[in-house]
Amino acid sequence: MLFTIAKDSLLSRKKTVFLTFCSLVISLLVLLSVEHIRLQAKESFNRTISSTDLIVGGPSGQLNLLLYSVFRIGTPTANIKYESFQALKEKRLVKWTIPISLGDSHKGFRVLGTNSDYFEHFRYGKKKPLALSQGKQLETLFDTVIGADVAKTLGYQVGDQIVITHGIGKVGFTNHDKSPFIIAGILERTGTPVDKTVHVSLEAIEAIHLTPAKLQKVIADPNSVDLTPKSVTAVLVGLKNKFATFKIQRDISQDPNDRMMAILPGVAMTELWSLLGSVENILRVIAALVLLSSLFGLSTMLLASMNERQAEIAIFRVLGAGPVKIMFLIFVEAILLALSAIIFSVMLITAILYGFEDFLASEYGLFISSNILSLDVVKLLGIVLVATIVTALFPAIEAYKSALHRQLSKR
Amino acid sequence: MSVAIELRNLKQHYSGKVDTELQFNDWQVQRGDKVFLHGDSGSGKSTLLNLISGVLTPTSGEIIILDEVTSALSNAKRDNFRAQHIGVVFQSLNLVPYLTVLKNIKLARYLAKQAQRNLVEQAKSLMNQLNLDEQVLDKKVSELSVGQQQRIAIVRALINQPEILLVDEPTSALDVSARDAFMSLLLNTCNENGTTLIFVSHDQHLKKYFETCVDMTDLLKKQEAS
Repeated sequence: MLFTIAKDSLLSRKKTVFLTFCSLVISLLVLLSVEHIRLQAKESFNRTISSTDLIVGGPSGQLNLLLYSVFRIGTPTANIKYESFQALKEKRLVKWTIPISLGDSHKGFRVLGTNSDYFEHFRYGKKKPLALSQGKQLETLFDTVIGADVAKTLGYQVGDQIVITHGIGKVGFTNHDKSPFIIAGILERTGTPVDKTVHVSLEAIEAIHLTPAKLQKVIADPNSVDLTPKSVTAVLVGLKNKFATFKIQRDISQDPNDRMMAILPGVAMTELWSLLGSVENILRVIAALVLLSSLFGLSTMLLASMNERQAEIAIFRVLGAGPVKIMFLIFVEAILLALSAIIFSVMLITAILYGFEDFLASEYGLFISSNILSLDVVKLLGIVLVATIVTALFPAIEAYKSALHRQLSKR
Repeated sequence: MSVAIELRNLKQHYSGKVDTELQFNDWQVQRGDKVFLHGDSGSGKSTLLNLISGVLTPTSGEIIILDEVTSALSNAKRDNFRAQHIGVVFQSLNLVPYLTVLKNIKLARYLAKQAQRNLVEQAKSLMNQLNLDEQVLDKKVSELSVGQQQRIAIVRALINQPEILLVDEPTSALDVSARDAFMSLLLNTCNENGTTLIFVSHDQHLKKYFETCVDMTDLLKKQEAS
């Protein structure tokens, strides 16, 4: 009964209620989008690497190593010896290794030298392996496999010839234009930095750094020159037994033959995310303040209506409604309004995301789920309702006081 | 015949710029009586109605309604007692404007914590007694004429079959012919339902409808300055 009365009461004040509703919906849209995008960004961040137990590289900071080996950001400071990589590969507890050699670029996209283990063992998201959308893996020396973004941005097809430059700018210091790389395959979109990477073999990386004369020889006969790499930038390591992680990590850092460090990707990712966290928190604070101001708007609207509702309160009193019941009616009105704003904005965001899901994924590589009702968002909505009740206290107390002092025929 | 309303040593104190105190003479109203309570504005009529209905609690003294000392009840119990036993009709603004007539009546039943069963039949039968078209039930209050609103207010006040009906200047917004029609309908309805009626007005013309007339000045003890 109180519910119907609250509903009719709100409907009788259509204009103010509608404006309050709009302000609530807008602020909820801001809050929910920020929260959803934050959660999605975190998820997308965390999906860049999966299943890897250790990342081994030259001694630097753990963030630095993580940034260049996983996110292809920044420059590697130190390499590790190729022998160290081979020794690591032979360790009893090591299940698989992926060598990575960085430092070159192709038209602004990073070039990554690796071997076939990359395509076999690399995992992203929920342990998803890489898959080719076209072509084949690295087979001959000058084969390249490119990420989906590279193919899309540069309009490459399987079979196209490309040039790989030394250095990582769009225009490298030296154009290795004598080395004719051929696109052998294009990877399916992953939503990770893999999409923006040009993959070649470790030997190819060696080859492009040869003198022009030697390079000519290699092009003529790939076996004429020894292309065994001298170093790699980093190694992704999968272990047979997770419990061995710390032992291996210690062994690597104490290796007498090479200076190396090993990091746990999960730990480094958490550290990196906590750096980004302050930006995230600023956004959340702004969204919360916007919402708070809307809730005050709701409270003001109800409070302002108390004057014109004096007669109504008198009627309720006459009919035997206690002050508490009248207070409760105001709460029901506030909650009803907030709840309908919540439902409306959730539906609106879901519809918008649903409509743009494919567009965002194909154009920007953003994988944003249209299902926004994650546990965190539901918790957040719960907090919104509690905040509504708290701000509705002002008009409710006003109604209570006015009901308490209300006499029947004095108006 | 038993007593419907009884006042004993009733005093009501107001503190404000000027402290005033109203002292009431002891008074009894029998069940089924129809009393015309006459008094000018400011004579304490409203205070008395507020005290009887239990919206105000007296400073001292007792109010006994239907053998219950309502002045001694807790606020919540008194509100509930009012919902179940006392119907009130004002000069105007008796109904919640944004609700339909039916919802207004339902609200009274809901607040009296009684079952909604047979509500529509009972409302229709009261509406017949008051010469109201049944179709107004689904109309918004704001769509009705003042005369209709006042009669709906009576229906609403009587829907829980209260023993007592308090009416405060219900006809002041009505023209003379509507007033006469309203008065006879009101009295007939009270007779049919055996309701005790306290009718408050400053309009002496309405005296003719009542057997018992009480002047507010006779109810109050002579004021001694306090």
